Amino acid sequence: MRYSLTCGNGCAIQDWPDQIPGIGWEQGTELDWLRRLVSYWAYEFDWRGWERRLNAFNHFTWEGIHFVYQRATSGKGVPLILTHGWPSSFLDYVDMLPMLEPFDVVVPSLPGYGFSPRPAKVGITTDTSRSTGTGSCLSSDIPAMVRAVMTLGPG
Amino acid sequence: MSELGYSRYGASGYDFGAGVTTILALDHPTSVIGIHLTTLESDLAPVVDSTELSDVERSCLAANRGWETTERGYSAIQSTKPQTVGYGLNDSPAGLAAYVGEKWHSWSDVMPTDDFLCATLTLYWITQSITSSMRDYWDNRWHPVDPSYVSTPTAFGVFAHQTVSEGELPRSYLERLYNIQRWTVFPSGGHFAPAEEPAAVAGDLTAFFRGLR
Repeated sequence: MRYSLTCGNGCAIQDWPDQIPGIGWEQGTELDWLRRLVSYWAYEFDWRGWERRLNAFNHFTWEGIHFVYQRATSGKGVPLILTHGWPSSFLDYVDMLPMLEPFDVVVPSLPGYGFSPRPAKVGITTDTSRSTGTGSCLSSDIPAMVRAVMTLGPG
Repeated sequence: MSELGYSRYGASGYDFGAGVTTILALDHPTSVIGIHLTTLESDLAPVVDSTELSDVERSCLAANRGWETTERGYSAIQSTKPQTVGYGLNDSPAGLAAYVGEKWHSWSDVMPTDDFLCATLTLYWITQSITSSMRDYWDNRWHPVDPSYVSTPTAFGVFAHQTVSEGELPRSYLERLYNIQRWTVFPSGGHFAPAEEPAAVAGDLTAFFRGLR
């Protein structure tokens, strides 16, 4: 895992392709938009701030699957599993978590995304249990994961 | 889970997360109280004879097919040769930002802040997970799932700009696959609804599951 962006100097000497003037996003990511974003990422973005923010949540792994767990303010709520998509991550839910006080929330990282490694084999689908049965799939892991998380202490 | 007093739970998701959520309900119908989706997982679409479709359904599906032609190239490459794409994306922050950023730009209605987008990019970058994330498309292509009717109570949070801007899939179409108990149309938000409109999604989740307890 690389902990630094290593982006700073690289971005400064990035060779940008040309773009047809006025074409906007029609052929893909717009050049000026990307240059601005990458410059922001390299020189202004505060990942350390995000680390502090993310460290305020409870993180666990279960059978290699990373998840954030937030217990209901009452101490016991209805378990609720929130699963992101592509190209995204568990970060989609961090703004929402404070708004879900009634629930015991479990936010997994899909296998192969962010802090959940993807098993190094083929056939990892949304439904491995129904197709080839060759791998660990999130939907078949969730029940046991929920069971495991519910044995954790408050907080 | 019943021995722990947590016999039942709810689930929500979009995109691949909608797939995981749907399969969870199909595999564990007695444990899953209800599911809440903000997009359909495209591989889990109802199987319908075209003669059974209404005009509204037909026009929405036609819009979908138009989208497939102009916007689905990423899926074609990721479901066939994800490894080849992965080398460049894993090696260049600008390349990764271009590839991921294009999808966020195209598929969201309320574009997240640069700060959020860069946090997502950083997560992919430091964990070097863009290639493994793309393998979802390969695995789902070659190991497809047969959708069957989901009798678990289902809520759809309908965010108008869901990838296909021409039109949201009609409720009648999704009712061919899901036992829809709640259908809420939101004025803004898109594919990444939880990140784009967290308060709207949280409110919808709370209202739906409160009614199911």
